[in-house]
Amino acid sequence: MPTQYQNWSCVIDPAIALSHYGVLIAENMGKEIESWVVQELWNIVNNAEFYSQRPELITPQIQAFKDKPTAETVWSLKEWGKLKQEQDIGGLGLYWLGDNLQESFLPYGKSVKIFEQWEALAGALERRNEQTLRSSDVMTIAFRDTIALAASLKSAFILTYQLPSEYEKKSPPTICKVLETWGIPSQALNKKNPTVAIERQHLQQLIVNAGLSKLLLAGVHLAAFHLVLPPVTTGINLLSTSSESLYEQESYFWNNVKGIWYYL
Amino acid sequence: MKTISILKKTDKGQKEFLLKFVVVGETWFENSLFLIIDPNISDSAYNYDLNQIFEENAYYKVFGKININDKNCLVVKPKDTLKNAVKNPKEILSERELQIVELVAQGKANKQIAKKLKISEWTVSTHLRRVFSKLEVDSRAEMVYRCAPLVRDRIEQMRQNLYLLIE
Repeated sequence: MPTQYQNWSCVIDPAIALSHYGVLIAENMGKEIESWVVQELWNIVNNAEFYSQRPELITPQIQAFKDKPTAETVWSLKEWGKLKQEQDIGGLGLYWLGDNLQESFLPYGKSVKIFEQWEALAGALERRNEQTLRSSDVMTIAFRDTIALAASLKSAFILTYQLPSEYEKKSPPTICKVLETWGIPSQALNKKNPTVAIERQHLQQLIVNAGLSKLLLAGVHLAAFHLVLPPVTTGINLLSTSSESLYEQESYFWNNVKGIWYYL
Repeated sequence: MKTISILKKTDKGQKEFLLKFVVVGETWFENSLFLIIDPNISDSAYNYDLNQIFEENAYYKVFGKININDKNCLVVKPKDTLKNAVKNPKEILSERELQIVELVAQGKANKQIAKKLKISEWTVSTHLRRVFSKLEVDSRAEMVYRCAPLVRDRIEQMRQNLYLLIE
């Protein structure tokens, strides 16, 4: 993996993973940057026969916008199936956290504490938004895990996208909308912001290096999403605290998280 | 609040809309499930012919009408499809999900299941939520009921394997 991106991680948003571009991105991004997916994606892909008959369960935009054809999701599921058959997923530079540490696939040298941290953060997010999350669907579980994963990794950004029709309406990507329903605000940043301009250039270069320039050339509305976390609690193992202070810490943590994003 | 969702294609057949109906009641009769639904589509800007919608969809058919508290409700019967019949949960659930259903059927609590499978309780509850969503059930009891033949088969298979080992 090129050294220029060794401090970065990319979490692939489940919405883009299950779009036309999902498999292409998964195949290529890992060569350039430590790339992560959530276990829920494998649960979906491994159960493709069922979800191909019920694509609405895993088409997040259909919930939000009611106009995204599910054919794209079905097509994407087939592509994932082919990828899993034809390639060694472990060789793609894709990592994930499974049901336990033994079922996870971590980059060489990555601290195993990340598993505990992720589980604690995802559990905390769920407790904080119990009513919304308890009665939720498969994609909400996937988004919950994506957000907790991005919070657990250092310097991670979530690679997401927006549908053309929603882009025209200046609507934020689905993951931002989901976060808003959980009371976590997301702010769109202008491309002219000096820091955004620098990072955007790096990420565009990363996309080009990964062999994905055609996505940018074709006008796919890729977006980079960052979670801004409270610095004090970052790195604290939420699992190891007593239950009373745990709840306070959890609430403090997620109450002070916000998202920022911009188009690439 | 339990709902059922139906995908409706527009006349042009290009776009699909997800219509949600609130389930106000349900009952089992002679091994068949009947749902009583509120036919109002609160968030829709379109006028739909409900009978036509249910005629076209693959999952439910209208069985009759019932008036509850001056509200005309529809009684729908889930059709015998993959979504509803769950004749073979093996095709719907993953191996881990089947393990968990089986342990729930044995009366195990989440904590015991977690210990047995060496995963956290929180992960067990996430799996259960997914199973509930796939099977469209609301309780552990309903889940076990719908997977009963499979659970019986798996337990029988385990018994046979154990018997072969002892022999």
